[in-house]
Amino acid sequence: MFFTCLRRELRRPGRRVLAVMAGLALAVALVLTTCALRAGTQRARDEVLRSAYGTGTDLTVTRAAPGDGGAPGLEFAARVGPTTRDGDRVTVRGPAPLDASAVAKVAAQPGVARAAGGLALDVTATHGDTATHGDTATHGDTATHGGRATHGGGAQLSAYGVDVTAPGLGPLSASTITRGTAFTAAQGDEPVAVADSGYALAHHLGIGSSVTLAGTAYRIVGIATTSDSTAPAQLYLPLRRAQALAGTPGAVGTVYVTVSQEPAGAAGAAGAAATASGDPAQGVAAAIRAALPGTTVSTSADLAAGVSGPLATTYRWTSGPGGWAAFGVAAAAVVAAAVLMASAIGRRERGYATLRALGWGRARIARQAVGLAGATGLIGAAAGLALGLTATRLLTAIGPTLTARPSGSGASHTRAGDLAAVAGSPGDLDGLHAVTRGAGHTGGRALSVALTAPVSSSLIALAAVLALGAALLVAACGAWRVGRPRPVSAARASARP
Amino acid sequence: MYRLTAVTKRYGPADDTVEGLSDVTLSVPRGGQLVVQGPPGGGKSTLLRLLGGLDRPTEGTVELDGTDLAALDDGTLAAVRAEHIGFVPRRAHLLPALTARQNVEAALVPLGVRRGERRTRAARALEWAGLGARLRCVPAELTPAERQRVAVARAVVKRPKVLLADEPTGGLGRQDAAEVLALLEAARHADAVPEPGYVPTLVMVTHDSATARRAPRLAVLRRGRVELTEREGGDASS
Ligand SMILES: Nc1ncnc2c1ncn2[C@@H]1O[C@H](COP(=O)(O)OP(=O)(O)OP(=O)(O)O)[C@@H](O)[C@H]1O
Ligand SMILES: [Mg+2]
Repeated sequence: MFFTCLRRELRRPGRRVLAVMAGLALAVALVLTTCALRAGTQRARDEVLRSAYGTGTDLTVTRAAPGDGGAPGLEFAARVGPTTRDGDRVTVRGPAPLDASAVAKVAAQPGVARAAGGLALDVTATHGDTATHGDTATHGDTATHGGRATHGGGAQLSAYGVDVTAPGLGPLSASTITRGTAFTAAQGDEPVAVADSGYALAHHLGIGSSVTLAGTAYRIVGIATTSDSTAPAQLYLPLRRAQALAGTPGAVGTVYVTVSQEPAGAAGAAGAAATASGDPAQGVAAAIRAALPGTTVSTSADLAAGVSGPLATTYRWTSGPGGWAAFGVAAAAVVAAAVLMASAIGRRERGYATLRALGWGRARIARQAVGLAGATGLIGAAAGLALGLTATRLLTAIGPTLTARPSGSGASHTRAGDLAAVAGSPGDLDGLHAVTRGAGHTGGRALSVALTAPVSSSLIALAAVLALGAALLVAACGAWRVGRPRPVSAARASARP
Repeated sequence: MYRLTAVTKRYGPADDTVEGLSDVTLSVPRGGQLVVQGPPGGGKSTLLRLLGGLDRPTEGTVELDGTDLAALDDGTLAAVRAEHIGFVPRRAHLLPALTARQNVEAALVPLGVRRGERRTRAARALEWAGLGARLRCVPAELTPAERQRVAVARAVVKRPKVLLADEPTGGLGRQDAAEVLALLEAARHADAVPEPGYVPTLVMVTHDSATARRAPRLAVLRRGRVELTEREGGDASS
């Protein structure tokens, strides 16, 4: 009879019961979607950070802007360069580079596991022969593509000098080598390059092709692909080669630091204090700041905070007031559902009184009421799960694109620019114009990332727990209500004015 | 055998009590019939709730076949209601979500009757009540008279010792009322469906004067005080 009653009650649920279901559905769907959106924006932001700074980077060290405490994101014109050689103008991007000794000094700090330098360059063709591409490998006829005679100055290429001895640290680590090989430690001085796949595609570069920069032909040994739509640079060179190209031997724009995982007890007093606060990177950052005055040390938290643009706004909104508002609305909906459920049970009081007259025991009647409340809660919660999953699926499917602008030393450009170049005639440097337009030398280029709302199994578990909890709360309210029938005298009083 | 001894029922807080029943003493023999009448607020429903074990007297005892209902704990009292007492409330009080048959089945649930038997017994009781074609109707699909007949079927399906009817024809038309009363009478005939030789005690609140005139025992309740009239050999003529 328990299930018969339940089934028949739920077959034609009253308005209150429906409202309870709707309330719980709303709450669960809201929490699920908000959490997924949080995860999605966080993932997108991490992607942006990874694109800009590479993986494995806990800290970056750059030169501080003059007269400035070192807030990341403040840019000033490069003091070095431009160097003009063989028709190409080479500019160091971002703040003035650090001294040659910087990497060693950083590496010597306690708590630093690894440190590697990087140097971002912009190579601009002044006479139209920047980035001459020789495709000897595939055609054998040394056909050269490029804007050689067709363009004057202005075609620009973003190049990045990476430490060949530190794979997995720095901007190139954001990419995977999809063809060819990565740099080997022995290639530090060789004229070799790794091309970003977007750039390679736009300019028909393959393994063995070469790109000529300032009169030197760099042989492509690998193609790097990023998982998202952004790449830190179009061409990666061994660091010493890049330094030579810029005429700044030993200089690095950014030092990428991995903090050792062991508790950095040796990281000094500041470090100990920061370690106590939970983030060892803070302690190491303090030590580096002390050892290298005039530098800006950014932790990944700083780097994350330095991201600006719509993505950052969305992130701050979902993980801040928007998220809390959503959770608040969800909590209110659950409470309202519980109150409504109590009222729905109250309306069945006469039915329960009838059952009592029929000799149903208190427990049996309570079970019926709690069963109804629980089933109502479960149905609502399940609907909420379904709704939330649909919403997150939809969001992921639509994948709205958000742009973000990481601060400081990161070097990036959108692959969209490269793909736009594909549309142009082969070798047309318009592609490069598209890539660099609006980016200039500021270093913080806008990246665009598709927003997703990923639903992890743990999020589903969380939502299910929440759904069950809400259903239980509703059931408990039902139990409370059935255990407290309106005093008969009150019923009589209202029945007999 | 029902025996009420010096029963008083007071409602409300100590400083503001309403006396529903005052010092009522009466008895109804097993298989006997008692008709209860009286003005509104006279205490008729109060009497029936005490007889049915839905409420406890403030003073006095309510004995059913020698057991003082007031002395039983809630669980035992519920079991007594389930087994021995059939209620026919004014306006049926059917569960709106359940069909006629399921409403009747509900009376057998606390007795632990298995589903299959429940269904056949409920169907039989409804057929007896003239509702064989309405088993699957929900209360909203039934007329008030039909609903009242479902309530009678629900009361008799478990063959209780006692049938308690509180204005079972209240709000019904003359014809419908007569039919429902006839049904309640029929439930007490030896050849009625529930069981041969089975004659439940019937206590009925009604304003129907013909029924009152025929009744072997009449209790008139005014402001909680009872005025009893007994007729010789009345029970046999029921
Ligand atoms: N649960 C209760 N709480 C307080 N007072 C009550 C309660 N039940 C009944 N009373 C009071 O007890 C007295 C008797 O009420 P009861 O319902 O028994 O009368 P009744 O004869 O059935 O009236 P009616 O003909 O209107 O049904 C009335 O004064 C009523 O107000
Ligand atoms: Mg009454």
